[in-house]
Amino acid sequence: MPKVPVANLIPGQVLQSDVYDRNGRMIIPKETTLKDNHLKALKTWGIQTVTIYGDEQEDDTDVYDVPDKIQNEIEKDLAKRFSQTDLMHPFIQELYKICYEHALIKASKNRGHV
Amino acid sequence: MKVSAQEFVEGVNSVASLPSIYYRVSEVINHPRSSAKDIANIVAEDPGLTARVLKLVNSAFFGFSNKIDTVSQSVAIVGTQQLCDLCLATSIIQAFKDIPEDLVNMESFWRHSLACGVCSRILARQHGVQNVERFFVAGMLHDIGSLILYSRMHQKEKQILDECQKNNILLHRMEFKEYGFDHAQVGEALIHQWNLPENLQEAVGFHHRPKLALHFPIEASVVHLADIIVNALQLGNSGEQLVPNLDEDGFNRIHIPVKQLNKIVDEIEHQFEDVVRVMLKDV
Repeated sequence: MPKVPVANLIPGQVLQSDVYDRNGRMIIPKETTLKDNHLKALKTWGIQTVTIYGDEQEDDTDVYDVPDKIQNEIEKDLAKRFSQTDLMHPFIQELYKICYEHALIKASKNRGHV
Repeated sequence: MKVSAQEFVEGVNSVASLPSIYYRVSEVINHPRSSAKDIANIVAEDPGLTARVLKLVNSAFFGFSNKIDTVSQSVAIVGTQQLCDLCLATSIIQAFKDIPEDLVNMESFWRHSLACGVCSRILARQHGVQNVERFFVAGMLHDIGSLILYSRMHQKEKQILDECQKNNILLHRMEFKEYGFDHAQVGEALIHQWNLPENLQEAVGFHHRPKLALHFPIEASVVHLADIIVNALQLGNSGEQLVPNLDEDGFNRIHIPVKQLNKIVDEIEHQFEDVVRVMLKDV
């Protein structure tokens, strides 16, 4: 169940979750097999990531294909930046998760995966 | 003897003044008999302001499907108070010149401020607020106190920034220790001097300690959360290297479901570069 950047999507992949626009309206339902027109529409609507069915991974983050060394650096940087705020609070936890994903996406893009 | 933030701001002369066009726009908007055309005529006296307002109204910020060609049209669609706030937003960047860039990169500073503005507006809309443009301005203004400090307390600020970097300390806490006030309070004092509305003063003054905002707790809490979000996302930088501490009362006032955060972040990213392009290019 990986969350994939729209830029990395390939036709034929299947949505695992509904996609909503910024007004909260559902625009593509789950189980849809993505075609070219869907991908174009997602870009137009400014959707950043969607959840698709993928190979079952032990660690969700493997889908970004980022080496352990880089992943450790990312974790170290996040630990420092979040050190003065309350990581036990669910809001901060969710924010941390999002930042972690963003960093992984950026790192995997830098490795030439587009 | 330590001075107060108010005394400090009174003691510095013209680091920053709002362009007079803003006060003229504000005056005409607040006049009971002004028409949309009257407002448009005043704005038109400043072609730069006109261009920026129109670009903003036509950007992803609003997401209107039809193109809006005139200021009068903008007033009709967006509302007069909201247009006033947009004029204020576009004037703010003009107000600050000659800030030394060895302590802060000005483009990065304004990127952070704009990101906070965009995020504050999104959070306010989620919360059900009507005049969301006021929140955009509040977010944009939240760290201007830092610019005064970087400009007027240069040596001391360098020490403070170095100390924070070395020992993982939040900037506003170090400032409080050294000065007896922080950049939020300096910003509040400046906004007060500019004669801007009280809700902007509190939104800025209490953005690190929203539970102390007595009159405008929603404004302060929204900007507080927005600042945390955009700092975490590293959209620009105003000097703070860490994610600020979360004020539990501030969070509870806004009722943002944690599950919504992903969509909020997506929306920020959708609008952000467009807004930066309008506000920072062709300035």
